[in-house]
Amino acid sequence: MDYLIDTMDNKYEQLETIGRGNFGEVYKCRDREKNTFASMKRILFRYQDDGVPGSVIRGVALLKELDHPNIISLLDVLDDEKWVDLVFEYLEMDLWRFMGTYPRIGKDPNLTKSFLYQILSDSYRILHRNLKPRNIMVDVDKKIVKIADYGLARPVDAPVAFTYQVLSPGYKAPELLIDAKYSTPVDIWSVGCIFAEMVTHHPLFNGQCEHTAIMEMFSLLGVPNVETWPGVTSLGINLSNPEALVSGVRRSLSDVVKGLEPTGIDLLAQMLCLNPCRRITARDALIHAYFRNA
Amino acid sequence: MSSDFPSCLRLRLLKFLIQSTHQLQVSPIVKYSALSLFADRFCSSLYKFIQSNDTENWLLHPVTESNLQLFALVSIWISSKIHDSHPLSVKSLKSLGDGMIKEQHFMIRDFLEAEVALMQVLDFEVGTSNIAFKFLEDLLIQFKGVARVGKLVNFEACMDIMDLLYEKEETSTLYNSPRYLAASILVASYVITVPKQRWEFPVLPWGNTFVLKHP
Repeated sequence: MDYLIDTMDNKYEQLETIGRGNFGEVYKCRDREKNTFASMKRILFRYQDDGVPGSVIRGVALLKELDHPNIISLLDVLDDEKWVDLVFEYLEMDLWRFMGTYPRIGKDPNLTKSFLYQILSDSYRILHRNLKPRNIMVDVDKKIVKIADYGLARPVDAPVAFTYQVLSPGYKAPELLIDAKYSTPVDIWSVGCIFAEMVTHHPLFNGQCEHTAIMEMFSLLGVPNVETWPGVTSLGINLSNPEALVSGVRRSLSDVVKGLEPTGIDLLAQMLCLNPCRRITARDALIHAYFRNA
Repeated sequence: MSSDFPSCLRLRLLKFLIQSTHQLQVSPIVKYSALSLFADRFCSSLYKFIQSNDTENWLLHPVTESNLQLFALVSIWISSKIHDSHPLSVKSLKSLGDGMIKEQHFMIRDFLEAEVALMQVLDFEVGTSNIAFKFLEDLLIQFKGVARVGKLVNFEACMDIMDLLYEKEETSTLYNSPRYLAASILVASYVITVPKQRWEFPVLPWGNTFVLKHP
């Protein structure tokens, strides 16, 4: 870690490592002047001759243009020839740890509703692709959640083909697992998984690998066919023997996500619609009956 | 957005940038994003940056015309990285620079250094979702949706108007209000390129609504 020390710019003191992502590590650090904490993501350039990677430039550009209460804000950018450090506001707790630390408060239906609303209200302008409880930070006192998107997001209308792996299988939408074209519905799927997890405090899908994730998904939501998902046959999964694609006993969403009110189950089912074209949009989800008495 | 340079130098630099985009055959969005980065932002914040930061970067000490040409090329590079799935390579920019920049021979590492310096001068405000070109594109799509005559509007003419506006400092300040500018360019292009006997659409009131809807 020697290389960190000489370039921390004296402005920030590096503390412990708090996460690892696709591009590099995330550190907790202290702003020496303001005496506040921040998190810092160091992005090493793999091909130095290409300069700053396009994904980083796009990420920074987007974060600079964004000012949303439910997104962790970008405070500072430090750079060097071999890397860029992105300095973000810091929150102690992520949603995954929050659920583990506060099993009772964390299951409060009104809190779940509020958190879900906050997550959705940010997500219709941006494609995150990596939403999971560990990437959602919680301000425990203020009851605010903020998406910590460390530079992977892109604006919804950006035309570039997405080729690299972005998400852990347990939170991945089916069209991602089977490699179809994707867009914002993938975020809604992930938010649906997070919604269910906030209710039960257990991941909805464990998905160790892509294949088991697909099996879990189809077991819970049914095997898609050309009627429920036109074009599904072109996605490269063999649907001729649907039984081979499910495992265990068929259960319904309300069996698995116990304790969620009926309007919540309805919203969840619409968020977890296998066919991305029929999946509910963030805009429509925000006016769903589930939020009416919030 | 007053520029920090004498207007003849500014004009030469913008001409250099536009010629380079044509030689590199970049798409219009890359060209106009680069112009926005360089003309709208870099040129107007450079001296403020130098005054308030005790930077020792040799590219900014002193600011020579060839260094500024390097920054113009780097604007195109950054813009291409934002918009293209296969961005321009630094080598292609370097070989263009070798041919076009007479006073100085820049190495690849100068491009890398200039890239970081440019983003620092811009305080990393490199977003291109609110530029006049983007609004113009959106507006034209909407226009074609509501009026058949929209097909007759010549997009090339719109882009020529944009290039012309960059020629004078007074007119390039219009880029500070990108949405208004986009609507005005569309109307101007409509008047210029659509035959008079086809002027069946109330383009002015419609353009007004567009601007007012998104102040």
